[in-house]
Amino acid sequence: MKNLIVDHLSIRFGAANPVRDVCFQLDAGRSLGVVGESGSGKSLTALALMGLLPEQAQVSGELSWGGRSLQTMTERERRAVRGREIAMIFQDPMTCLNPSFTVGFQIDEVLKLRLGIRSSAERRKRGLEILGDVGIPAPETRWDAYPHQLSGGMSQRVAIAQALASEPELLIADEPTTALDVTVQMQILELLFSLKKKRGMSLLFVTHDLSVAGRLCDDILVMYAGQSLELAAAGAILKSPQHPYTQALLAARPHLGGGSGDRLKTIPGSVPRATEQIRGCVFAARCEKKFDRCEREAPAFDATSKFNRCFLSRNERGSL
Amino acid sequence: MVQILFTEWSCNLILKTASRRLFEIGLTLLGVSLVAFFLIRMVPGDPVTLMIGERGASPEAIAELKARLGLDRSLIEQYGLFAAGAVRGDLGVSILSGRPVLGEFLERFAATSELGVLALILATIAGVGLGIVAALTRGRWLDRVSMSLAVTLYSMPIFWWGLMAIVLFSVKLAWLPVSGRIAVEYDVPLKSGWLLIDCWMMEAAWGEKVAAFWSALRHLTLPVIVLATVPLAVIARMTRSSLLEVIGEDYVRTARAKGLSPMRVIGLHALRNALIPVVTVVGLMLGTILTGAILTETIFSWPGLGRWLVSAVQSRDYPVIQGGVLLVAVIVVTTSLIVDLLSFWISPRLRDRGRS
Repeated sequence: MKNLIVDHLSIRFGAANPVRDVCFQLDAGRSLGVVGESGSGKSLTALALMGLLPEQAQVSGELSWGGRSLQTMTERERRAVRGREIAMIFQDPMTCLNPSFTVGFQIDEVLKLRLGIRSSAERRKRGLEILGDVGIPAPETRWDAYPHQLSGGMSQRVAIAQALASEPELLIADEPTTALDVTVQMQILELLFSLKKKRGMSLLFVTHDLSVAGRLCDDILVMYAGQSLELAAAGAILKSPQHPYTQALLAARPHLGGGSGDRLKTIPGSVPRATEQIRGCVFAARCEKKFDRCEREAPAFDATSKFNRCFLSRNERGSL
Repeated sequence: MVQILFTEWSCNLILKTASRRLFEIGLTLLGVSLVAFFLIRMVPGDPVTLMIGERGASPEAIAELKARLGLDRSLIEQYGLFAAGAVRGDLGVSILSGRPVLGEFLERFAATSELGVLALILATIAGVGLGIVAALTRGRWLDRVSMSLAVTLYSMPIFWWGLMAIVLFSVKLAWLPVSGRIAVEYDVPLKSGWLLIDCWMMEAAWGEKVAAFWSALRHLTLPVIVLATVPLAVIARMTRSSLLEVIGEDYVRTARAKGLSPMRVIGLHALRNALIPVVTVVGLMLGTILTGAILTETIFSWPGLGRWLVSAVQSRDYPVIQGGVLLVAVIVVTTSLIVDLLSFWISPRLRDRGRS
């Protein structure tokens, strides 16, 4: 089993810099929730891991998978990893399955081309097993169905099935339930995490929902404006968040039992644009606890397994 | 079980669509027969005058000829006779040759279809290929070159470009023959009507069969290329834009994420979807090909439908014109029906949408 290390990843598109500095480590068999608002760079980070960024993207930093650098690989080596060792499922299952091919065909090609199973009877048997594993009732009847004949929840189950068909060691799930009905969201998430446990794979779960990630994942990475701000165990993040942004995110959650007159707490201001040059801390402009130094200088941090990118946590307020 | 149900549903749907289309086809043909019948009679001059010529004849002789051709009856009556005959498959006889219109049509149609089908195949293969190349090199020089080429081909008037092709390849370079279907020394008996096929069926030595085939192929080359240019350009542009659109789709990203080879991602996952609108365009190009055939056949002296109809118009051969135009319309609507069914077959989504 392999570890994933992302070290000072930055992605540029011309003048825009949507991913500024992302660091994290995901150990084999663990699950990491990547949490952030839209535009925080979490999906781009996921695509960078898959090597699926558009051609014009300039990537710097280090992506290491099982000790091998993903960036220095040839396209051929990269393709051997993509979809085989690292698989991915996407946000909208209704547009992610090919409308012209049956469910069976789309799973079958993974078993045939990625796992190299020669016998078509064997592939069909394996494929039906996988469809059963992802909770599709009566898989035989779904094998020859086309994607448009399935509901959103069913489609996402099929998408999970075709990602898992190649028996990956790491699954990246990019907001896998955002496009689904609320009633099936939790079912899909529970399925994902139970499959992760059953197969012993690692899971990178990208979401904007901090509480869901906190409940399901081992660790949480909080991202903001293209930077990773805090990485900690899920329990620790929920109980005692360190970074002011994480604290503000948690405070902004709606509470059951809150009075009907209570207003939701919000974070004032808006996320900096990807083209903006930021000298200091990326969150400084909206931070309640900022002081002079925050706007002049970016907090240094060492990308160890757990970190928090804020002067306050290091007691560095007085040092200048 | 479910699989059986699915196919049964699709069949029902296809039958329903086909029967609705058949009704529309009936209406179309009625319209075409009316237009073809009355339009040519509105053109000054009539077959009798043209046959007798400028010198004239006695009024009795003219009246007698008119009566023999049925032109003395009222227009409504004439149309009624034509329509009643057409429904029974009898389109009358040509005034000029005295032979049945249907028989002449089928003979000429074989020559036109050999030209048209080959042109459509060439336009489809080359057009789709050019479109794919342009889409994959989007924005780079190869894309610009192929798309400028497409616009140029599209804008060239067929008669001009046909004549230029003859001047260059037949006259100056003498690579290819100027006109006709086959060199005069080969006497190939027509069976299928396609010389490329019939030359293998004639009773002759192998060497002569090969030589006849080669001659027919050389005669076909220029007219096929000239006839294919406009459809080729349209198909290339359609393929390019459709493929570019599909390449941005989520399911193509999914195919990449599965680690499939670029060949399979583009050639199977993207192209399969990108070709759905292209099939419709290829169907529409059939009309363009038949229109183009009239010019192309005139330029290359190709004994096909186009030349047949043009000379029928010149001599006001009413039965040939109304019957011929009606038969061309039958061919166009039938093939567009086939193309429609084909796009049903290649798009599962379309198959189901009509069902509800």
